[in-house]
Amino acid sequence: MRKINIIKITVTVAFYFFLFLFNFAQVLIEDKYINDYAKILTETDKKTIRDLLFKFENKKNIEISIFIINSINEQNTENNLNYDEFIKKIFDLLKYKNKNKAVLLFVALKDKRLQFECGADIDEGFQNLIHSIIENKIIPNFKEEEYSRGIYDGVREIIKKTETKKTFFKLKYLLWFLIFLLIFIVVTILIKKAGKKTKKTLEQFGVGVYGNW
Amino acid sequence: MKLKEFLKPDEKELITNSIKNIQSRTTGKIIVYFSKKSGKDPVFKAREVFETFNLKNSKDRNNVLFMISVFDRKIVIFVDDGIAQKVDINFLENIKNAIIEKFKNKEFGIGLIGGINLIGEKLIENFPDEKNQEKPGDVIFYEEN
Repeated sequence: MRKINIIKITVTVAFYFFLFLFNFAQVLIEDKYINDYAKILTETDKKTIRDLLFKFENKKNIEISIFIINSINEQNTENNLNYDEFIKKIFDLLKYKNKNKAVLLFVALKDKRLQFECGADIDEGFQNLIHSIIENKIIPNFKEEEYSRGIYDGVREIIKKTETKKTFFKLKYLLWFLIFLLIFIVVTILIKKAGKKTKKTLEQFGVGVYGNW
Repeated sequence: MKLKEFLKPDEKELITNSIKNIQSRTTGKIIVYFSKKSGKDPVFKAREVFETFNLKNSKDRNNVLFMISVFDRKIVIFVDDGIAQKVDINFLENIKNAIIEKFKNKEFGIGLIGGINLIGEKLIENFPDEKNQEKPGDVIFYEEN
């Protein structure tokens, strides 16, 4: 009898747990790129940012999502998840093509919480870049209550900085190419000079006369 | 100006026959070489050509090179040590001047045949070939690529 009760309880808990997860997913995850439950972004802003993130994903193969809520308490009433667990849960629920190359930017306005979650293959350089952009672009705008601008500028900055990095690498290769070219020219000149010197050491023999007509 | 423009076919044939005739009577060899440019030191270039064609290693050191740089309008007469010991430098200068006089009048064939015959006489005189026979297979004209 007791055994049957334990089974019943387990099945019920499991049922409600899956039901909760299903609802959690259904309720919270509307869009892969932007979920704005604090309603700080206009539809135009959302579209613009979504386009930028879509292009960025195609170009860099990194999927970035933005998740905005007012407070964790409003979204997390039934389950007392802490911040890290909550963000982790959102990250897991988002339908990324490759979670290892995904980034979630999480904003809780009333809680004044701004953090990001990264997949395993996101390199440290990119993580530092996002951290720096949050500090220098997003937070200053948020302090001015320019939330929409903060998010938009942040996304733009990520794209801009990664492009700059690419250009820098191109310049770096160009610089190396020029150095090698210079070395090649110098070596060629030296070889030619050495060749000329060798010529002048040819054995002297015979007699020649010459003139112009 | 290329070799075929420089010498008419009949002039070229005359020069070839003239050289073959000389070479049949001497141990020396005569080469006519057309170069594109002769550089800053035409004699040096002629010496290089002389070595390239392995003219230096003859028994009597008596080979002769006429190097004509059509582009630079220069002519070099280069002789090996064997002949240099037998003839005066002024002799070579005179031949060169005689050729240049003709070249100035665009009489390239006549000028060259005259010069070759003059030096040929010295070769026959100083380095006669007792067997007195033509040396087949000798290439007389060369043109720089």
